[in-house]
Amino acid sequence: MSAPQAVEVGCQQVAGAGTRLSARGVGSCLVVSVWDRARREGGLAHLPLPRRPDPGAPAERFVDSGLELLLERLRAQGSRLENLEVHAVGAAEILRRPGEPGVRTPLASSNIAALEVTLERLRLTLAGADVGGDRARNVLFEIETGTLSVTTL
Amino acid sequence: MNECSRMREYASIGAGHAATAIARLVQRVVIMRPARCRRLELAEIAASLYPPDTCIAAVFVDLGGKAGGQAGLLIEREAVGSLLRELVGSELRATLDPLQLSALSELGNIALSAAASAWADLQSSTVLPSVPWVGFDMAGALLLEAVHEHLHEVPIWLMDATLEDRESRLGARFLWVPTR
Repeated sequence: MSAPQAVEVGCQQVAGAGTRLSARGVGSCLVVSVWDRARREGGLAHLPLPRRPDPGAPAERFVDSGLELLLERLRAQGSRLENLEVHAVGAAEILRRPGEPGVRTPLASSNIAALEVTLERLRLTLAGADVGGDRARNVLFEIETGTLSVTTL
Repeated sequence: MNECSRMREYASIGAGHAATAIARLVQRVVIMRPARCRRLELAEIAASLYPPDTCIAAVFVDLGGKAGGQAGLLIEREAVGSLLRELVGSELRATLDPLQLSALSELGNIALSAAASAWADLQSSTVLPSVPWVGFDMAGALLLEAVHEHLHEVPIWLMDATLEDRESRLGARFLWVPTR
């Protein structure tokens, strides 16, 4: 089997069966996978920021516009909404001050909130999720089977 | 001297003082390699210093005053184990206990405060480091979270300098990400 293709921060990729896509070192970012169970195609988006501030900003960087773009790309290739399975991974809070409850940035929780709003707007539900917590994750998406594997250190 | 050269020089001064502070604490010679200066796009940040899922400890401070941005001390896993044995006499496991976390936070605080103090002297003004943030996890995730406020304004400038010792027990990097 060929090596996984890395999907870097702020990027997304759509691929067919036989391809594996990965996102490594996922902390406060959200990684969203969309799998077409009928066509055995799918895509992975590595989204660092919650909401697109203006239409000039690159859509791939934001949870709201990035998820919408990924769906558009799959639909342009012939996917139907009812065949799509969406999973979300990430949004961990990993930097802290010893002995204090606060976290460095509300980015992780903002990303989760943006995902919830976007899913509602697009009338989608998650087939599964592993979000939040305080550990970074590696994500591997096998498009042949739609399997999403998540590991931590 | 262009902008990159100026920032690299500035980072080297900070890294040199951080290295001296660490050397005093661990009582051995710490060698600093010359700082690098790079301009990084969003997709390049996470893997800019280590493969993004490399386990490291990271201590970051936000810099108030003219310097601005964030300064950090990144310590490779093997060096974390060695330092914790020396500093608190305990072994490294999958996660850090509160005492270990505090020890690394204090090590980073001492090193990064030395850098901030040197920068303040250099520009005859105040450079105030915040209380440090600390994490022990994947390098790419730690780095992105540390510089999150710059992510809307990529590319970013990133300066780093390698810190090591002759016994190969210290593998670390000093880091500075200035405000644009």
